[in-house]
Amino acid sequence: MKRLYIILFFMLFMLSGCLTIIDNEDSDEYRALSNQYETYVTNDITQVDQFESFVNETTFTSMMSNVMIKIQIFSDLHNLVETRYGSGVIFAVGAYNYVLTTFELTDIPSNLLVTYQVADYQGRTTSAYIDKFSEDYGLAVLKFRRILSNHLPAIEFADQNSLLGEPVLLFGYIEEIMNSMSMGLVEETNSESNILDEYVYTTIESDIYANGSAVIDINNQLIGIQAGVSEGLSYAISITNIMEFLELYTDYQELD
Amino acid sequence: MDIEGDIMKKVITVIMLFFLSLSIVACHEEKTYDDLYLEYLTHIENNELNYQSSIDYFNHLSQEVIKSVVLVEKIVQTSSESSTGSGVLFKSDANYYYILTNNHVIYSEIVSDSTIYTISDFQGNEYDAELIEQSGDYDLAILRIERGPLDLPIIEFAPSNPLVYEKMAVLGYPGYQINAISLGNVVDYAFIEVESTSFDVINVLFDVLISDVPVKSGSSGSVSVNDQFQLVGIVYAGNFKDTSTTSEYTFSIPVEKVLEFFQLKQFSLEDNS
Repeated sequence: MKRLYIILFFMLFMLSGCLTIIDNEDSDEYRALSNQYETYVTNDITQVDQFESFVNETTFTSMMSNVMIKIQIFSDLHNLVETRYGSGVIFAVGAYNYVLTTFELTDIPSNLLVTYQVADYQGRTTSAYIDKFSEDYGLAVLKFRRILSNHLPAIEFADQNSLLGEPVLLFGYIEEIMNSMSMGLVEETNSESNILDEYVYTTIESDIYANGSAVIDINNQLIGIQAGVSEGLSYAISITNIMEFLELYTDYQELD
Repeated sequence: MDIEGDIMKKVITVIMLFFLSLSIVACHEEKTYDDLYLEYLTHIENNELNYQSSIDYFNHLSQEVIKSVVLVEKIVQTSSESSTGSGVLFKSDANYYYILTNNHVIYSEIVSDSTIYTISDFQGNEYDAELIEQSGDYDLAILRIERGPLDLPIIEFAPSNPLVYEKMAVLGYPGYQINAISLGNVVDYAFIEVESTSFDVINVLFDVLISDVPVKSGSSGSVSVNDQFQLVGIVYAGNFKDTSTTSEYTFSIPVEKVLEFFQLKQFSLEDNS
């Protein structure tokens, strides 16, 4: 009987400690997701304090990377044919400030004359130039000369795509409001055109002026470049595609 | 009997050992990528209502309330003196919009035709403004601009001062930054000593609203709103530690004192046009 009690005791002991014996999958994907989840929970905006910190950080730091873009298109007789407005975000700073925006905004027939003007978060305007573009990725880079007394920071990139339902924030030129911000959630779509990893669909309220705007996650890191609105949902070019596009620079970090 | 008893004991022991090894195997669990992904998604899903409530609150601030906030610039042409701050549209009539800002934003020792006030709205449209009222005792001033083609919304006043710990947002143009929004809470009401060149500029002797909403230097005249998006104060100072450009605490003229200022100046909030 004594032996039985010992075995019973041992069984209960093992069962009570059951939750502690969990082995995590040994893979890079698991570790990456685990880190992403841990960071997400740390910065989760469910707590009022965390939400306030997120907004304050966006206003006082990330928004300084925002630019509003004005493109004027002239005929070969120098007559103004079209004026386009959009948004962009500074992603690298060196002798120039480098701005990510959409290809669509800068897609202009080569026989026309074009001037690019950017306004920073304080509304200071300067001329800009097209540096790189790719129709395949839907992205373009503008650059404008950096002024030392006017430091504009570069946005940080996220390592991973955001998950369905995560809160995200867009900053840019929305509904003709300069330096505007708009929040929403990452949304799934039934659209057949949705190719995995190509676009991030969100519930952010947006319009054509916001195309090229930065979409950031709750860590204030870039997860997309706003590309348009379809069936009531905003869609942004995903960070995966942005990083691939930036490979066009042998090492974009050397721009810093 | 002893032999049968021994056999029974051995059988029971074997059964127990079998269950024991089963339980040990059951206790040993591997958490896969899919398990973690599901846990992550469930965490997000469980907080969806909470996220949506924060998003709705923030989007109303950034897409609606912000349209009432303006940039105020003063230039004295004869002396090249200039200053900037923020302001808020609080009244409109058939001909004008009225803007509330700080006295120290628009103050000039000698007011003459060479003092020019300019207001910029959320779209960057500029308007010439006229000074209507001012007071160093409240550090408040009223300007007005002629109505243009663009309809601008005006802010509502809260009927009373917000309570300590209430949610608060500050909207303005700190150091020329367009449409800045920062969030925090009401912390206290107390008298704050603010350095000023003259009592005519700032001579606030009453308890002011203290909040932990951070603001950048140059936020004077920014509007403080409660979670009903009503004006609860006008930012007039902040405490900036060392060389920091962002304040730890923000000091606002509370709404009850703003309304008292209107009464004192016999300024009606009704449309008299």
